[in-house]
Amino acid sequence: MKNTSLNNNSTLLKTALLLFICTAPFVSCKKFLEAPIDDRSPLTTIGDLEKTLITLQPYADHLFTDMMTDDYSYKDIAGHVVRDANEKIRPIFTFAITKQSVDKIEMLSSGFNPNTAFLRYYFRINNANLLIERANKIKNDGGDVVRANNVIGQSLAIKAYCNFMLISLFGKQYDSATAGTDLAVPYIGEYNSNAIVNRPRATVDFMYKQVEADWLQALTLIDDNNTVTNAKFYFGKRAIYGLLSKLYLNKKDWANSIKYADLVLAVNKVPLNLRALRTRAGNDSEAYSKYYFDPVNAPYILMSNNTYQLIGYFWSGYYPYPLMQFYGSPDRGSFGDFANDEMIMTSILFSDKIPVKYLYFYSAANRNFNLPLVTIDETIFNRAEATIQNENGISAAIKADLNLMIDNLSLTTAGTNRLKGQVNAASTKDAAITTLLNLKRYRFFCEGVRWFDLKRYNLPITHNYNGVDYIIDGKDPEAYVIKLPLEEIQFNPDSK
Amino acid sequence: MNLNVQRKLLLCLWQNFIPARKFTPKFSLIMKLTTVLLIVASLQISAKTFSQKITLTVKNSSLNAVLQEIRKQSGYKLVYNTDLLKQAKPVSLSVHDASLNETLDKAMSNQPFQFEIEGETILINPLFPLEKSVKLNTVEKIVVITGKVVDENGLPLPGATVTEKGTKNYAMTDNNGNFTIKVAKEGSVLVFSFMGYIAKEVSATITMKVSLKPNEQSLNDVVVTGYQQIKKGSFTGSVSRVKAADINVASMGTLDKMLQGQVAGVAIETSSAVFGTAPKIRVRGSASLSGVNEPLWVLDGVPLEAPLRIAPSELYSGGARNLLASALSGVNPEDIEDITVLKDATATAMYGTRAVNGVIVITTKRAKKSMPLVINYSTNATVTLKPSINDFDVLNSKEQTVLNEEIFRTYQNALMSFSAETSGAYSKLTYLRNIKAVTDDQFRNEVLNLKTINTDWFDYLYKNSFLQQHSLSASYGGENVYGRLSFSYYDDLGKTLGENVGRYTIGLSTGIQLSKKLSAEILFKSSHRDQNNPGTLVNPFIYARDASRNMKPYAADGSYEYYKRGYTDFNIIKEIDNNYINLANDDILAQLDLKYKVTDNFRISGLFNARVAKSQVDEVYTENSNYANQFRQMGTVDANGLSLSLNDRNKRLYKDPSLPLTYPTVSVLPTGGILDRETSNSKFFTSRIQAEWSPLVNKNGHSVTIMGGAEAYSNKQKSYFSRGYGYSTVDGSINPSPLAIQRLIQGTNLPFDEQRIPVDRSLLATKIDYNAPFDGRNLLAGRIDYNLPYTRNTVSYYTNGSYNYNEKYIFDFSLRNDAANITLSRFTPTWAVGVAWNLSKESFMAKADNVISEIKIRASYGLRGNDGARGPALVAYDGNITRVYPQYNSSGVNISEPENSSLEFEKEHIINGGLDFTLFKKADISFNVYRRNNFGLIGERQVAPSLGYATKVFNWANMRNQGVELSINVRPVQLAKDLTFNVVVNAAYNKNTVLSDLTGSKPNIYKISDSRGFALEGGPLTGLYSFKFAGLSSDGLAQYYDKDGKVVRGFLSTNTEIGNLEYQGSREPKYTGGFTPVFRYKAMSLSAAFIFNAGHVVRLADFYRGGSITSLYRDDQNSPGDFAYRWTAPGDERYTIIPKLITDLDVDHYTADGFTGQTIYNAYNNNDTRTVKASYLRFRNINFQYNFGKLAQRLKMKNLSAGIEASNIAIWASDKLKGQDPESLLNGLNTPPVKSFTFSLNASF
Repeated sequence: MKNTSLNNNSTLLKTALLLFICTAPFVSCKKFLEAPIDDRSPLTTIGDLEKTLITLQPYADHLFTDMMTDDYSYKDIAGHVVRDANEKIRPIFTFAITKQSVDKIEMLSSGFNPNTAFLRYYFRINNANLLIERANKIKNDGGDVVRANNVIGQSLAIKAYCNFMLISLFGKQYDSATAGTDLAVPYIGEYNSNAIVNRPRATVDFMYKQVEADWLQALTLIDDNNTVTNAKFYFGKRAIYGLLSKLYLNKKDWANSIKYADLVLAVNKVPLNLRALRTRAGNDSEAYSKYYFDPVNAPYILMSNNTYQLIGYFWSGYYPYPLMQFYGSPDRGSFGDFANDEMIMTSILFSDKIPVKYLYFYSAANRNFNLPLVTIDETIFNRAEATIQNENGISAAIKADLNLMIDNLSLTTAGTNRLKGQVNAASTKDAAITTLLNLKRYRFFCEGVRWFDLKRYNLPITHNYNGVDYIIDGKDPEAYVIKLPLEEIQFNPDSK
Repeated sequence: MNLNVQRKLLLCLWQNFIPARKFTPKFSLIMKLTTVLLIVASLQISAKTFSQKITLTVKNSSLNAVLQEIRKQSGYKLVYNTDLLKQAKPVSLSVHDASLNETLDKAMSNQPFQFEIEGETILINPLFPLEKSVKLNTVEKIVVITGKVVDENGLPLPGATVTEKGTKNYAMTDNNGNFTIKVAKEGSVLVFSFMGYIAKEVSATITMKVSLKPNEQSLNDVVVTGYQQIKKGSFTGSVSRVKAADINVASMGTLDKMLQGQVAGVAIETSSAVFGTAPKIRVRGSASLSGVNEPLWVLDGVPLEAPLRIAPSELYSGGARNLLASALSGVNPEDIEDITVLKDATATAMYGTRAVNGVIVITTKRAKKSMPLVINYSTNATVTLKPSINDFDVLNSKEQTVLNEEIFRTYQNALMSFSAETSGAYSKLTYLRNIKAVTDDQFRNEVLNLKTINTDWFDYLYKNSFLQQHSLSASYGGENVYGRLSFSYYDDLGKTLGENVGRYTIGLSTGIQLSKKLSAEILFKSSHRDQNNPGTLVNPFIYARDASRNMKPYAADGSYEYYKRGYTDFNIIKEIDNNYINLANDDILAQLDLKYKVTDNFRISGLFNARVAKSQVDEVYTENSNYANQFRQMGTVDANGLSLSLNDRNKRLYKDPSLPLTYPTVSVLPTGGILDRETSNSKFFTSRIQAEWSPLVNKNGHSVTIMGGAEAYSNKQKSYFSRGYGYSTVDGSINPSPLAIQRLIQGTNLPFDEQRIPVDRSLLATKIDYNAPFDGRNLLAGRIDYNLPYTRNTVSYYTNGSYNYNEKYIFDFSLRNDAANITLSRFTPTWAVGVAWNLSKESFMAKADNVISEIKIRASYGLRGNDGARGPALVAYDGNITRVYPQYNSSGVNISEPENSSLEFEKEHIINGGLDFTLFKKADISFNVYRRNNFGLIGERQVAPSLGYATKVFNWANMRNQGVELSINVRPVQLAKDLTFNVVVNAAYNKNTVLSDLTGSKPNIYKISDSRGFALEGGPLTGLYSFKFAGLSSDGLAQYYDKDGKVVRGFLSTNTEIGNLEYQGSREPKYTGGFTPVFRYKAMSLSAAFIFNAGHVVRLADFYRGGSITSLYRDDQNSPGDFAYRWTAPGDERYTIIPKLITDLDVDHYTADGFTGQTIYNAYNNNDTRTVKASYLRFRNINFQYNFGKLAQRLKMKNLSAGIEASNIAIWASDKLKGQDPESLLNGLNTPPVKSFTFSLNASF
């Protein structure tokens, strides 16, 4: 009988052992429940974070503001125009978005509108915070400090840029007297994994301080030698100098604006030479367009990024007639007048006008075009503007800078001389600023620069649509503030 | 011996039944495998240590005990006849370290037995050899027994087996149930058995009448949950059980489709009849908005999943992957014993976070201990019939041609600039006239001819096809080892051109009683499938239904007649030859169950299951296919110079963005075809350890059982997809085209079929399902191949306690805790409690026993989960960043979904009440009522954009399902002498209500009016909302009522006012069920299956196909018959609701009002007059069986029966459906079932 029970015990042991062998590999290993689900990136290595930076680089989402400037008029004559699109775009045009919060459904679904910009900037801000948190963890866990710092610096630069654009679009123009109480947009200071976090609107002053601090800190962390992020698609130190120059210009801190512009221009001061570009492209308008935004234009572009958006509004009834009028026929370029040279008709039937510089992106049937976010050209203008303001007049050095910009435009000798004449004749600060803003209008038309100049100087804008005038008279800085998207007001109760 | 029999049989099969072309290589493979398996099985038995030395001292001990001790010490196996051993004399002996022979010699010295040692087996025989004894029995039997075997109603049972116990002597009953058997003596024990009845042992008398009870009762005695077998009397949950044999419909191939209408509360829609696709199954309604809604399949205790992970959103999409969507495609229906559907909280408690959609437990056939060798062969052959275009409401050639002419007149302007991407008969002629290849006279004559063509494309694309299945199984049961080995072969030559399926399965189940306490079961299953189907872009059914009838497949000279598709020549018959899917799938499963009985009341068991599934799905577009040719169709090749700007229009051509505008488009595929290959490799492991303890067993009436266990499960899948441009069918190689790769990398405007977004293509415009494993990513962006790995690991522990008092009052509770890698190892507890009262055990019910018996009242409540959705982790994938300046392309990580640290599984509280009883001992009735509160459903919800996302995934939506279920099983009733009737009826009602406002993102009314239904608060998950048609205007255009009852001409695409729509009902049926009457007359039986779905609505196929007017220009397609009744002249609006052909001028007017593009057409497509009640009754099949009892007896067979069956006989549905099948979701490769006839034969030896 002993034998039997022993036998049983050994069988039991065998069974237990077998079961243990079966079960052990699974339950004993903690990693079993932490196995990756698929090939998703866990964003735990510094390499992952670096690869994420590229998808977080901001787009030129502010481009929609061009339609609100004095460069465009709207003509309801294009029979082929998608009527829905008109209705969606009209609120921007009639400045509805500066009077009330508008639903994204009211906007052109394909993009370019304040709601899309708002969403995209916050996507970047939230995920830049995520990268900062992850990079800090890697640093604390003994990871590569230089690379981690670079990721943090890059993320700060992205975050600051997005915040800066948000205040520029949705906040009142910085005014030291009221900036402490003027409400701008919600500020997202840190990463939060909760699905919903309600945050109140921060003041313009607070936001400016954060942006300034982030950029300054980024300068101490960014590694310009990092082989991944030293490309033109990332914010390098020089690009941040350019942005800081712009930030201080907005804050009317002229000295700092000049200081950072100097840092940019000390390396070199080679703006884009449109005249040379024209010659190089010969008769090929598309080539001209392609060269214009090519990241290879190292001297000109400090940072650029592909913007994925259908540039639909160029053929949706918006016509740059006021812009063409502004240029006027005396300034014929070497290839004819502005209308035929810098703007071309894409369809004879409907008189669509499209800036030649966008032709390449238009014809490629592509929702994707490479727009610069920081340029040497703009920095030269920023420094000139700050200097004029600082010195209360225009100096010879600034005149030389502006004349350089005029020389780079693709104009006839007569046109060039006329513009240079204006520069040389500008004797007062106001005249110099007016001349400078006009020059910027020549240089950057349709590139999303004009609206911010109008806003900084409270310049009046008038549009007519179906016999009704829509006017910003320039008396109230609030008139240039785009209201928060309706979704934000609805779903973030603290933003009201 | 087994093997020999099988060899002979298979050889016979090979020679007589199976086309040798396919089978020969596989045959030898199966034989090899069989041999290996048998060797493996026998190794299991003898894996013990052997010792020749025996020490034993006994006095007056029984021979049996002595032999057992010898067996234990020697390790030899013992074979003897228990009855024989009864004659043994007591043994006294004493040996020390003696040899086996020596010991046996001593033990057997004065016994009437002799022993023999063969290998490691000791055979104990009577003093004369066994062979002689058998002969002796047959010769010397002198007692002749005659008798009759009847059922409990006294009806004869033909073909029943009568065996003299312990011998091989047997007889069978004839058609009248009579038998004659010669036995050794009166009083010998006879065993009476008959399929479906409980076997009975009776002592022989000269004349005897034996009645057998059907074993339906015994079938229902035990509930199989996959974790436990629980006596039904002490079970509180809601389950339904059906026998596989009762629902088997040979022409359907897989079990899941056969279940339709068989179980109350299980609604099945056969979305496609293509082998391997999964039907849409809902157990008590839908539980999720975006996640898994399909029930969990469990095969012999272990969850069975499809060989490839298929996201809920792509389940019915008709993509090539869907051929692998059915978990059951590798299971031979003949191997299945029964199916148990677990429905409520108590029944499904052991499945925790996978239980919410119900569980369907399949048990396969096993051999039993001590049973004679039974070899069963069954075969069936099915012929299918072609459908006919006359079943559908489309225009005939004449009407179609007239319409084509009118369209070409009406839309001259539009057609001038409309690209001739496709052409049909009329536009082909127009083109020939334009290029002056035909004169105007010839043109007019040809157009006249078109009016008489009337092609029935079904005739060309379907075939009267042949399907055959063969199953062969052998079962044998010894005292300690028993097993069943089965093979099956399924060969479907295909109902349409380009379709065929071959499947082989092998199954082995071996049970081993290792010792008194330890038993093991080994299961091995393997299947191989080869399947060919037409490509996903050439569905023969859809083509036959939609192609214009004035086209024809062949020209007068017998050559192919070509029309245009993708700017190049297309002929459907040629294309099916050149665009096809080849699938190969191998599935191997091995399972070990160990049971250890520590005491009668304490048992430990363990289970280990491993399964590997490998598949390869190739979609081939040969070099001659229209699809491949589309890639090289340049405009300039036209000799007539009429190509216009084709090069720019043909999206398959490529223009290098890095080159200037003026550079021409080029072909990326100058030669060769395309191969889309998806290979996948899935591994599943389950291991489980479990203990069951009964501390009280009917102690003063109290019984308690406690069970607990732990389980680990792992599913690792890898699939790899590659698209090879430049495929050569000659040598199967790919001659890669670098330009094709560049186009994929840089092209941003690729046609949908070249993007790899695995969601329903028809929904692409509006919806990318975030729950797809690929997150709506275009997986081919910037590459020609990709990997899709997937791992799901879970660890669970569980416990169950059950108490009953005299099986009268029952209480039951369960707890389970699951953690998975997708939830970051967070444990989710689920639980269930159940109570039941067996009223019939109460003494006061005894009097009513003849009227109402076996009454049980049940109730259960519990929490269960649905873990199909994503976990809380961040979702970010590597992807390619493509730029306008291609030299700057790079890779990056895209964050597609944010982390949501509070995201959990979807959950549900379910309460169930049930009542089971038997009326007049004739009808078993089961009634259930339930309410499911589904909460924490995962859905996308709009959030403040400052969070960085427009929407986020939350647990936030609630839904409710409530319903009742009734099933009635009327036991056989005698209608006349020898004629009985029985019927199983089941019916269920389910009402699904969405309880949360899902419209946070303000969907526009066009989205809400989707033909698949939309989930609005207060309505069902698939509520159908339609525009309110207000008649035609005096100019023949459609008008609608708006929310205020005002007549309007349309609605803006941005309109979100739900009041403009009218709710018309649920897309999913509210009432489901079926009934299966069976008549039996003597050896014949006649059964039928009817299925009904009711209370739901469906929308007619789009009037304006694809929601656009341009589909009207497509003269390669036919037009709905409605077009014949269109408005043509003022005044018609009084008689018709079909609008006029909308002219350019009308479109201008619409545009002026702001109604553009799709809104004009979709408002009409989705108006309330296009909604039809979808209720239907389907006469699914009728089956006649005959049992050749006498013949079988003469042939010394255990059973022989044959049957014929007709399937998909008729469907009664609303006339307004006009041929549209209310069930099938037709897209991709899905096709509906067709009429078929099956002959079947079943033989047992």
